[in-house]
Amino acid sequence: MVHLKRITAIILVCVLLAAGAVFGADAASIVSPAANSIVYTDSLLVSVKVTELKTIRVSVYEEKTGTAETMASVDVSKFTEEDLKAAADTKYSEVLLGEAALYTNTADIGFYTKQIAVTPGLYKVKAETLETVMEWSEEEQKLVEKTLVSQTVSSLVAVKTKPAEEEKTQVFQDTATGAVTFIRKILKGLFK
Amino acid sequence: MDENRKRLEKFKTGIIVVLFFSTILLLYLSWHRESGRSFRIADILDFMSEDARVPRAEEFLVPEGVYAGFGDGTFCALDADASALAGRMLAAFAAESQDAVITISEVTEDQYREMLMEFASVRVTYPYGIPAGELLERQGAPVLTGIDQVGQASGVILTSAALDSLFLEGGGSCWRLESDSDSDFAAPLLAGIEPQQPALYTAGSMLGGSNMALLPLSAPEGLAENDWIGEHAGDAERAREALAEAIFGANFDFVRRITDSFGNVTYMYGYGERTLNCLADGSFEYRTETAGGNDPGFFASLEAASAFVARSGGWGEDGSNVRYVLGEATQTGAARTKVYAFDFLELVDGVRICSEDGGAIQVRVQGGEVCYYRRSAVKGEAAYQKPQQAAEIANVLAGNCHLIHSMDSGSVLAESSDEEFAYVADHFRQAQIGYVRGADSLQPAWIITMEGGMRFFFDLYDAAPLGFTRE
Amino acid sequence: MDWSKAKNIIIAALLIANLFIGGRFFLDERGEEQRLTREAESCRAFLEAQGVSVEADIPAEGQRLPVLFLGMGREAGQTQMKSYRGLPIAVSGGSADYEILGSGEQSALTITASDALLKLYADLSADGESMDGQTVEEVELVYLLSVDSGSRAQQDTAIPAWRVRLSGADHYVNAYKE
Repeated sequence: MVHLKRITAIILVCVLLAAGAVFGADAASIVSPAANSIVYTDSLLVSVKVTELKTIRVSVYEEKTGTAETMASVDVSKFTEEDLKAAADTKYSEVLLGEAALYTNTADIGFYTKQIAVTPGLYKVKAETLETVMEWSEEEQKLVEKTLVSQTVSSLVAVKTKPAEEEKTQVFQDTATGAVTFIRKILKGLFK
Repeated sequence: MDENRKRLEKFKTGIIVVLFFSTILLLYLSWHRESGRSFRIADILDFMSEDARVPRAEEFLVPEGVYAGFGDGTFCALDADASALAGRMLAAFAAESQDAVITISEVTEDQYREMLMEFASVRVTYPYGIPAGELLERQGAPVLTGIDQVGQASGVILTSAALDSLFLEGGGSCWRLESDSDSDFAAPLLAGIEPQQPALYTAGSMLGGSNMALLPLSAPEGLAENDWIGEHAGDAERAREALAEAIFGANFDFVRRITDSFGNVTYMYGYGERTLNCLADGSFEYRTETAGGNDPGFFASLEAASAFVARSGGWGEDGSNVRYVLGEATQTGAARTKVYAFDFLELVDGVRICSEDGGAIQVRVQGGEVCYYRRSAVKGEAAYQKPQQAAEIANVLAGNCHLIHSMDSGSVLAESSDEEFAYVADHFRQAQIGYVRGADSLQPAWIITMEGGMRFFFDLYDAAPLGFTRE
Repeated sequence: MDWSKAKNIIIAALLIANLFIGGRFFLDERGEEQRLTREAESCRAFLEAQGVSVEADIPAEGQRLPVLFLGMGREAGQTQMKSYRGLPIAVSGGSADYEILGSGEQSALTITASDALLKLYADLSADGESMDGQTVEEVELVYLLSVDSGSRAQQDTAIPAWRVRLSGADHYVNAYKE
């Protein structure tokens, strides 16, 4: 009988998760930072959009290299977008910044937003959609509530040092050649 | 003999008195006949009366925001005198344009985004468009070739992406006014700007999409609900008579006066050529037919409106907690039929008061003459309580996207909430904190302005809808 | 100081001033009367030249009149023929029940009847209507109360107006100078 109850509970959980996977696929999406993006800032905007009446848990990790004693920030100064895509498969140590935050959406669309102070390095923003299910507890011999993660989305972002103004790509080109400007000046002086 | 002499002298004195008064009488009769109507002491002593202060146009042109960008996608609202900063930006350009050749070119969307997101910038925005040529000429800039193509400017930008240029934006476009000289006139104005809290982010960054309008992150706010009373509460009749006298002037005693059963009083001159409705709720509405005339321009029309209101109700006493700023300005028609509509918002203790009926003072000017004037101002004070977390603006927009989409787009049908929200995220322009005037109280609210100028009001703390303006 | 001589001079000066001002006033008055009479005659001649028959006497002068404040009845009843200072109170736009509450503090000189007739002629011509062939039967100064059918006015104002009866139809012209 106990064996039967356990199997029933496991089947129930699997069905719920499967249903969640099918119908809750778009529950949460990370608007900011955009996945595999490079930013130059010291305060990162985290914005997660939730489109179902669900609770999400948002965590921000800094990806670090090295051992437990010698952990260091990832050097992203030369990172490109391809490097970021490759970094998704690289194993880093994840250090949680602050505490994970819970947000419950009560409307058709809701947003979790927060500003996080950051230093140059590699960061991962993770949003987990939480489901509350009933599971059989062997110890208490009854069904108890358990929180499971039904969906996870994450976004890797490389935070680089802000380049000096002179190093940035020019947005505007000079609109006039030297000769044209010279002639304009002469004409303007004549008719002043 | 002496007795006779004395009597004669007394008689002569009497004659003098009689002749003196008869002279006065004859002068009065002559004057009375010429003037055609009884004289009023007020008309004679007009030169002695204290002229009401007439604010200059610039006093009303207070930007809705001054924003600094730091080249990393973050922005903040500068806690500076917005009008003064805007003035300095324009004055710096005006000085530069005296000797330099200015080239005007349109900025692409990508360039616009880059110059604000990737470079340090200062951006001043207005909730209305101002003719670009007039805006610059007012600061002393010469008439620039090609300035007409810029049209109406609702934003002024300086950016380190182009220190030799002033940028004007409006009507969905952005224009670069580039100086050919070597002096980077924008540099001093961009130097030394430090980030302030709260941080602002573009709507595109926070909500998705590409909208560059700025949104704040939620912060604790202390603005609290408070009562209001009509501007002339307790004194309505005297205020009404004073306003009617100011508007109709010498004709005041000869206008038709109609009082209805609700307590509304209408003054009508002639057969409705000029009417003043004084409503029981304390508001006034004046209309007149104007012959039209040459278009004197935006600033002259604004100053005509300012002078008219100064004489008819005034702009608030010096030292009071009330002031007015221009909240909206639109133009309809062309040439002789051009009408400027100015909507003035009332501020109490620096907090703006909005209402579904629009600004507290609304004036329309045609050919330099006021043809419409509506006044519905209040007396009140800003109240504060222990700070509590304001509703997150992103969720105010998301939670009310159906309402905003339906009213702003005019279409109640949308395929999904996502489509409605995408519309709101794309067309959102401004979020400010202020008061919304309710039936008898001022309610703290988020005031959301959409691209077309429509405003929506939501409770500051629980995001409940409080109303919206009608076009 | 010889006050006696001074008084003589003052009396002489005031006498001269009075004679001058008084004489000018009376001359102007008479001149004005003559001018108004000529105007009324010119008006009649003009209208008759336009094919309008003028049977009524055209008053030469206007009057100095205030506005009239009226208290309106709750239910519109039969128009009561009332008058103020000898001027009838006319109602246009419907019927009204009212009582006279008082008059305005100030009075103003109305335009003359001839000015009113010429203004009426101009207004009708501007509207595309011709007075040709019509007859001016009566020209009279009245107090005009204009009512709207759905009006809930508790108080209203009657304004001086010239009533011109033109071939049986009444037309009103605002008697105050605009």
